[in-house]
Amino acid sequence: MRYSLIKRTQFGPLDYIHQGWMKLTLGLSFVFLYAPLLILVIFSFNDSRRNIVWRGFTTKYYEKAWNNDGLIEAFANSLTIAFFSTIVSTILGAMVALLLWRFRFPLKGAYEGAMTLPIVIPEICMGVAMMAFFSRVGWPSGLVWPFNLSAITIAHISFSFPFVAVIVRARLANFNLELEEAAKDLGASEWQFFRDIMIPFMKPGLIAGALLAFTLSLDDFVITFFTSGPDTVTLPVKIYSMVRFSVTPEINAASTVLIAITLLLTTIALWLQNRTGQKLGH
Amino acid sequence: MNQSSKTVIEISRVSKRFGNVVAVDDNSLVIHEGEFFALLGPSGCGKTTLLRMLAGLEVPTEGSILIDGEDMQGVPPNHRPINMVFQSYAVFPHMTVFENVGYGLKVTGVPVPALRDAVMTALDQVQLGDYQDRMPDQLSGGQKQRVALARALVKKPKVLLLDEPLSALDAKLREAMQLELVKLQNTVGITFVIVTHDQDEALSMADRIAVINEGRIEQIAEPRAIYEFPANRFVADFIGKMNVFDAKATSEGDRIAIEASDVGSFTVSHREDMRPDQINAVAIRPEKTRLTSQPPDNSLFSAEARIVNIAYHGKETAIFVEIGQHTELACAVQNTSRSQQLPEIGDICWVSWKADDVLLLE
Repeated sequence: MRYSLIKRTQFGPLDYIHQGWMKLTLGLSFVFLYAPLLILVIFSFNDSRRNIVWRGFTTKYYEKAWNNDGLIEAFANSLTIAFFSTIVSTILGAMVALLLWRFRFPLKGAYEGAMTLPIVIPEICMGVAMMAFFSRVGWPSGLVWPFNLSAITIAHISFSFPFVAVIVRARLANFNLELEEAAKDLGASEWQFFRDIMIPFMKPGLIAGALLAFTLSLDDFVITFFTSGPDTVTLPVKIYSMVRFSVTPEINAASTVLIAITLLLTTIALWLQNRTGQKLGH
Repeated sequence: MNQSSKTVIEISRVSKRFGNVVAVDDNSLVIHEGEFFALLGPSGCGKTTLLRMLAGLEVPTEGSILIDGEDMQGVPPNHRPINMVFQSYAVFPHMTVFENVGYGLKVTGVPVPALRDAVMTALDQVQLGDYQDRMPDQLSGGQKQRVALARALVKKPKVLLLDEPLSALDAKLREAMQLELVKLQNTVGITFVIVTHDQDEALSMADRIAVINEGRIEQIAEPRAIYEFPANRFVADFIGKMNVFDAKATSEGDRIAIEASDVGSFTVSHREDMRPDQINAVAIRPEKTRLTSQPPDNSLFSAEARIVNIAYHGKETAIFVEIGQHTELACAVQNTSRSQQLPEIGDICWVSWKADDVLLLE
């Protein structure tokens, strides 16, 4: 009766969810990720000028934030920059991904490395480099809106498009080359093949890449801080300057709005992706 | 069946090299209109490269390809009167069955009503009439293949190319599709060129077969001729099973006397394309041998043998016998009755064959 010595269990060997340490890991990760965000959101409704003690529910700080012209202007700047940066980085990133996937050329490995380097370069270095670059080339400042945002937008494009390239490149790795041959065999020209087969295939990667580029641009602080002038303040930079005076629920409110927008966009993107998936799968 | 003698494809002295590797080596080939033609060979023999050169997906290093009398040099795939069914089927994953089949017409600007009629006709031809709104991932492998077929047929090509079309299907479906492809080809009357490594497929479907090895065409002939009269040792060995023995041959009047070391000697009819001193081996197919417990009459060549192994295959049994000390021979016995008695390992028997069923090899 060898087996009488063994402690018997009612769970299968891979039913880890029943183990205590598994539940602990799940719980802790949630606390680490969401406790600060939750407190931020809760205290945006706090009826107190100070952010420490709860004194009752109010939405007046949302009103106050809405009526803060500086904050709204910064928010409009952020959205404008994010919009243009997303469009350009998505197109540029997709083109780089196609180039790397489709063609062989000398020093391709070096080029591929150079393309992904901005992902790992410390942001502070990028920021200083951008500042030095724009002052060296004498980039005009004080232009009319939205051209006064051009320097920040260019800086944002330069750190966003490698992310798009990586995502689209990963998607392309699964492309069946016979699809291209089949399209050409059926009479499609290069352009028709690209429009009818290639772009629909890349679409999930393009959506995910664009979304990432948008959020990267919207919440970037370090690089923006170094490339923005006094008249080109973005939302993160504005929030930072407000914090320097005092941490008020108004800042919480503005941050909560930023979180809400990011969440909304992510949901929309996931839903779009899901819908194309369902159309394929249904 | 319905082929005329009109040439639709003329390949002359075509070679294809990838760097130092010669994939296709100086081949010439003529394919007639309405023919079901098979390119047969082991994997890596260059048959697919040859097919891809017809489609324009590869460019020959040397030689010329004429399709319907026109030189195809420099003509890109989208301007060739040829369509292809790809090995992976290459059905566009984001398009419905209808959109897939209609794609080749849409890109060339066929108006919608004509496109709709043509697509529905093509879908009916491959029995997918009710599947027009399905997405590819809702289809089985066999159905995807039909979509790929319809998509190519709807273009009404001069020649339809099929790259290993049945290799991904299971055995039962493969057999059904073999028959269906032949039927379809008879209906549409288009020349089919199929690439396959499966000899059964080639033998059962094709009007003519080109057997290819290491980039060179070894023999072009009808299936029966390929099987019964293989041109050389490679074809004999590649198609079906074959027992090959070393042998010496000498002229003996109007016949040839064969002396095969362990097996014995016999005479066969004279072959005009081969001198006796060129013959170094003889071969006999397993199903052309007979096993008997008593010596057969003198009209057959026979040798005493010992049974060394038996493999039961259901419809037939492969019996391996040893003649003398070193020569092993496979015999196929049809299991024509349930009550049929099979010999046992170690039994002594007589193996015999008609002398003229023996194949002479260089």
